[in-house]
Amino acid sequence: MARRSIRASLSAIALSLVIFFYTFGLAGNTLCIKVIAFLLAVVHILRIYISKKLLQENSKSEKLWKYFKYSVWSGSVLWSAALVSAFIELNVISPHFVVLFAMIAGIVSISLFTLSLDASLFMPSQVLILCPLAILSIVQYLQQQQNYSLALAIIFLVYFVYQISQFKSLNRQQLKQFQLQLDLENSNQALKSSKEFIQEQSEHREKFITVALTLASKSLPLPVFLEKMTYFIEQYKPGMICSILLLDKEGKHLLLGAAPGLPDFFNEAVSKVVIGESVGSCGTAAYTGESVIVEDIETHPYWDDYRDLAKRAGLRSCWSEPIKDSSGKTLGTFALYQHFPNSPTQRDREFIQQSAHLVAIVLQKYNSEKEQELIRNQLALIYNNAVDSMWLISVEGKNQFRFESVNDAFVAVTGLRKEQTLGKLMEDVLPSSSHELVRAKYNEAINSQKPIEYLEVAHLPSGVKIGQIRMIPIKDEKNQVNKLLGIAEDITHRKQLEINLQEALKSRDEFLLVASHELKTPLTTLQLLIHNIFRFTKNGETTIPVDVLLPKLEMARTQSERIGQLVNNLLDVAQLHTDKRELKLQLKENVNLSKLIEDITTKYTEEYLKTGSALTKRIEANIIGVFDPIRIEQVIINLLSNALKYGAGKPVELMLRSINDKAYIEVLDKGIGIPKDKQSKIFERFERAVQEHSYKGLGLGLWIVQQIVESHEGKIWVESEEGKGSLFVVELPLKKSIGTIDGK
Amino acid sequence: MENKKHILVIDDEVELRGCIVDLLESEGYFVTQAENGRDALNQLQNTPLPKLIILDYMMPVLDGKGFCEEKQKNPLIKDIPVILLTAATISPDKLENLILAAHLNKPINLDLFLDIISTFF
Repeated sequence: MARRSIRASLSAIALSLVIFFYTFGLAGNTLCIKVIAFLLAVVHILRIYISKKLLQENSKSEKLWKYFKYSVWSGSVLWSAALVSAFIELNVISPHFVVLFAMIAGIVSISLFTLSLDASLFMPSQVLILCPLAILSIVQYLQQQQNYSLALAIIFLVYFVYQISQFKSLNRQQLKQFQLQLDLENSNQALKSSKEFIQEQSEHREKFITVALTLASKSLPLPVFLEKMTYFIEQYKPGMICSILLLDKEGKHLLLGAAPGLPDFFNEAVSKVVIGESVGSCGTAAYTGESVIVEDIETHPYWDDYRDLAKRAGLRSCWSEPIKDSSGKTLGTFALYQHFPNSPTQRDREFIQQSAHLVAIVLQKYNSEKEQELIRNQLALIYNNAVDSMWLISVEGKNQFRFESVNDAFVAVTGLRKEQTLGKLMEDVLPSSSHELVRAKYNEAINSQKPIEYLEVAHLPSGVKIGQIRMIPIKDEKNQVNKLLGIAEDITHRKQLEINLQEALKSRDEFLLVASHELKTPLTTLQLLIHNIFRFTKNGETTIPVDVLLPKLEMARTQSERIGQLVNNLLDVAQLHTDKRELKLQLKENVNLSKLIEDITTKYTEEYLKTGSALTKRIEANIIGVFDPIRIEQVIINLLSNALKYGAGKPVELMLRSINDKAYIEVLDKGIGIPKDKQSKIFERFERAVQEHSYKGLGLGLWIVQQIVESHEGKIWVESEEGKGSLFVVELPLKKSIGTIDGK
Repeated sequence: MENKKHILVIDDEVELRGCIVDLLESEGYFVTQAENGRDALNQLQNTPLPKLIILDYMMPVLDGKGFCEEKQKNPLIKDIPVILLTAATISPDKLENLILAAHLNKPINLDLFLDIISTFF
């Protein structure tokens, strides 16, 4: 192709020169026409040449092809004009003229052929140039009968036929190529523009997503975010009004998320609607989970019930897309409204889906955050209101335990304030006596990676506390224990109760032991006496001498009375619970205390004589008050028997006197006395100042005495010195009537 | 004069001791009495020595256990058989080292009591 074109160009130039010289020679006089003709020819050649050169470099340029086409056409026209002018100039068809014509035609056709592959140019150019040449040649022959004119005509025709055949065979290939090139160019152009288009679109979309996500990441409150979203979307789609609706918890109503572009009455009405099939665009979309496009609200059946509402708001079309979470559950709807009927393009649909998706992402994030916060709040509630102490230790290294948090119960139980604990190491918080145990236990929990339990006695600022501790190891993402949760149940009170209970049981058991012992003795004596009496009859005697029988019966009675007294004491114990004074007094008015005591002491005088103790009494007469006589008797008997027991052989004194409105009963013995440290204890239940088995008795006496005295609103105390003796004093108020004493 | 049926009763309970003494006397025994371990040991320094001792455990001054221990130290009296009579339930370990002829709990089964005593004579 290149070689041919070069050859063509060269030949074109050569021929041009020939033409130039011939034209000058032939024409003779009319210089200007010749010049014009020549110039035109030169210009034409040059144009063709230049455009060809350009095409070689840039065959894809449609412009150049056009240029080339025009130059060829114009060239043809010009040459025709030149011909005509030459014809006119010469006014005769001469052989020179024909030769000239032939040469011109040759040049033109060659150049046309080689330079142009455009089939559309070829045929007309051939017709335009070669046909007239042929015709002229024939005319010339006919006029002048010159052979060479005929020859020329034949040559032209042959040449014409040859051109056409050449063209036909070559054209197909070249044409195709050209067409292909053109097609390629066209598709390139199309590709380029669609690429650009897509590029533009994706940039556009990216920008949209970026802005939307930036908005989402700002941690705005949900309503604010949704409103900003609607504004943003309305910017991208001017003329459209955006509405975001959220489904309520039951999944029945669509509540307003954000729709600042819609009128309030519209939004209000929408929030009352229950979603379902055919309930407007959004209702249907939310119910079915599919997008709903309503091009014209006026005609669409979904809007039957809400047409008036939409009309009032001036809305004509509504495109609704459900907002779904990652599991496919519908969270709400996203809708675009317009004031005129409209159906969405593909781009519109994509945009809506994108927007709905974005809102879904943000909604999910908000929901999960809300849930997380709820859980966090619940946990905080449990932590801070727990009855048990709780604390969190962060394990920073080997034996490095730092308090991360403590709950309110911890502060209350331990007496350690939060400022003293938080951020501090274990050793700086807990008392040193606990360090070893705590360290060991924490390490145990860490190494075993399982919760451990242990008992701890801690000397805390709040006091000595006993706790049932549970340490729970917490692992991080690398499965290493990095925290310990501690829970402590305060069992101090419980332990104390356990101890108290055990002591009480021990006391009771001791008491029962002593009680049974005490009862057995008089019981044995009684049995012996009775048996003794029986033996008399066994021996065959029918009558027992009175002087033998009576003392024995007397003794039997005494013993049974003793048993009776002991049993009463036991009953009193049962009645008087731990520390409560529930002694039920049977109070009587106008009880003559003096006479009461007088009678008791008379009974006892004999007893005293037996033991070798002399009982002296100084009783003031006519001391009257409100008392329970049986109980007071118990008091006196008890005090006297104590004096007798512990001061055996020594004289005992009993005094009764009144000062103002109080009576004082005093029992003095010169016995073993009571050491100072025991003086308050003797009034305690089961307490004795001496060993149980040395002195008979239940140890209940003084306790019961105190209960009785205090039930009468009186007082009892002792003054004593070890080895010298004891003085027991009972103070009783002298009341006029029962109403003034509270027996309980 | 050595009485062949001499029993010593040691008990701090006056009435009970009295009853036991009465009972034994009515059975024909010759009975002496002491109110505690110390008193008994003092008495046992004199002759005649009893053939049998009825001993209570819980007593002031010197209790039953103390008496037995002292008794063992005295070659003159250590072989006199002792019947322990007690109201308290005493744990066995306390009685381990005591050499007793018998151990009876109050309240006593009288017939049994007399039968046992008769075996010593």
